Amino acid sequence: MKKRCIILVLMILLVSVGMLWSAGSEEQAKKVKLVHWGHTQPPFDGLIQRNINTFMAENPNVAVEYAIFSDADLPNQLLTAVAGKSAPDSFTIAGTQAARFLEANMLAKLDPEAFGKKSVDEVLAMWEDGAFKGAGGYFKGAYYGVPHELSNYCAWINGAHMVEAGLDPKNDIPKTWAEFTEVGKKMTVDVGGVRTRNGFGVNLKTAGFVANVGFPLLRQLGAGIVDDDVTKSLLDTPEAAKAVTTFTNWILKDKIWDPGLVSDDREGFGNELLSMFLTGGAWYWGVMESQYPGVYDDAIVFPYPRFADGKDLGGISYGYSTYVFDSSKNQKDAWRVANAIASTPDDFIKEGLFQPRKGYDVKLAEESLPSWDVFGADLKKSTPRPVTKHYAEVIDIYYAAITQIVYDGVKVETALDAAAKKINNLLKK
Amino acid sequence: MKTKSQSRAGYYFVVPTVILFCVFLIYPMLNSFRLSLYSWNIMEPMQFVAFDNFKTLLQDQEFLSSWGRTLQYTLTSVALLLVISFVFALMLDSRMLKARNMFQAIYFIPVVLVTPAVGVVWKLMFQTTGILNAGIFAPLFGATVPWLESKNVALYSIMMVQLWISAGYYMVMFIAGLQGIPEEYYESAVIDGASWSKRLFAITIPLLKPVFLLVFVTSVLFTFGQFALPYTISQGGPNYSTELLTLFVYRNAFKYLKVGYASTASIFYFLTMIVFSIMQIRLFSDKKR
Repeated sequence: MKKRCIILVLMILLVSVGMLWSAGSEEQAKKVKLVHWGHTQPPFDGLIQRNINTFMAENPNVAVEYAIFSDADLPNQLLTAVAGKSAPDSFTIAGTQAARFLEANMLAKLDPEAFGKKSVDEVLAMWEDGAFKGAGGYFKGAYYGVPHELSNYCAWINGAHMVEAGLDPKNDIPKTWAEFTEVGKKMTVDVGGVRTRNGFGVNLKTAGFVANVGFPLLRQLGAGIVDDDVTKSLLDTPEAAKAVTTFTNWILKDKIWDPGLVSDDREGFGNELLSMFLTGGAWYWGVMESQYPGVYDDAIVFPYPRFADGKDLGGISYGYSTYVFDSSKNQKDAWRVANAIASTPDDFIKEGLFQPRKGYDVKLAEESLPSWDVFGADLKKSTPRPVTKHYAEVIDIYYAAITQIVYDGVKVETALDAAAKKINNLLKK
Repeated sequence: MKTKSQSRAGYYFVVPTVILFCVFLIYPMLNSFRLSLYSWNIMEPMQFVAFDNFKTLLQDQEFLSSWGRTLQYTLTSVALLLVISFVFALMLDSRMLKARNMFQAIYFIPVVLVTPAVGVVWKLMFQTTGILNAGIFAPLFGATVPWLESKNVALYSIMMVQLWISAGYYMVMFIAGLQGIPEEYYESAVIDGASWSKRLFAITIPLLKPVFLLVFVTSVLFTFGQFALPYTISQGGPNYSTELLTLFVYRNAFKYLKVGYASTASIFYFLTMIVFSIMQIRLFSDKKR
């Protein structure tokens, strides 16, 4: 009898547990599960997770799994996931890295309903003008990505080096490339025939940085590595030759830049091995504060110089956007998550990044983002980078042309003509 | 005599290794051959292009230069490695040298260092403000060497690091070989009035031939496939002058997503290694005869 009672109790328990478990499973099954991938960038990892948690609290039927990868690894992780048919629902990535997914028609177009809007234009109006294009969310007439972060390059100069060279940090900030070269000459230091400080420098070991400085130089003169529609190269033009000559002359003729002194220009500026560089965004203040506190107080930010007869264009703008894969079964919810991630622009600003969503606190931006007056103003005149799946190859071809001129003594026109032909052949494919 | 169950047990022991070997080596290798017949960027469907990748590759000046450069890098490095590690081994095997073990340990230290870390450190040393230029060349000669800024110098700069990082390893092999030569041979030679150089060329080098061959085989394999050093030191520059075949494959596969094309280049890499292996097998065969 006792044995039967025990068996009965056990059976009841088993059935109860089973029912509870299946009820839980049903609830789980009803819950929408989303996966979002992003790049690690403390303290933003925590900020994004908080925004996702808030979203989940407001939408208990949606569970979002947020996975973080290193910025350099994320593109390959995404490609691997795509190849293995296990792509996440949404992801945040640099605009130029998204091009390959855009050209492969793998990304979903913006869904206004997910933003509580009726049209794409209404969604665009939620962000600052040009934010979608600047951050890489626009492609061939349609919008695919929500701006996550927008930044731009400005020029940086060491004020103490200026004083040392007999220059006035208030009045002698260069406005044209000709002035830039002259100021660079004055700040260049050679000791016993050996270069100890460059007036200026770019990371000549990396195609990306050479191209990033090349884009505005070329655009200011109406040329370009490629045209606006990415259909042909504009390197085989006299304007391109003039822009590239200006760039390569800093090494070959003006001698304000010895590439052997230091390869990383940001590091070189921090270590006072060079006096000016052109590849720093507002975030570089944070880098200096933590890694190069010695130059923090002497650093001055100024708009990219212009050609005296060129267009009024600043350094490149670049950014990160959040995209949704076309393969996602819950695209609407994925867009809602993308919207939620970007919903707290002031929190981004407090941490030093510009999230260009309208309604951000301008005063806070001025207080939290050093030199925002310079960056903000030049951002409106910035040069966007081309969006193409051939981006890496295109900039490598341009880079090869520059290194041929610098290291092999190839004539500027010859190198650029050959580069233009290569790029045109590539774009035809 | 082995029973059937004992034989079966032997197979069971081998099976895990065979499976891992097939999954992680044979399958990727065969798949690479298959991919070389396709155009594929990972995201879009594969397109069968037959032997188009091979035709394009053989007309690709960048590939041909990279392949030739890799051969130059390998053969020069290996020749220098053989000489340097042998000379070090002779020096450190000498009984006249005190604290031999300490010197052996010092020369061996670079072998145990992580190659990318070595690359980063040497990259800093090659800069104008690095120890080589600022500490040696500028004070002594009043000029700096464009270690990584000259197309004519950069490959040799990386080769120098290659020698630094691997000479200790091959030196140990030579020392082991030297210690295996019976002392009586040298004693007899001395009695016969043989000079040091005569003993070196008549006894040491002939008896060390198997070691020379082993060092040649392994150093060719490691040097031809070198990736970490040129990647961390020069990233293939300036103007591709240090882009070895491995970097060419990497650039096409991971930067340009030309997976089929990169696979084709890797087949040429494989074929080159096959040719080297056949040459080496023949050398060994000659030894046996």
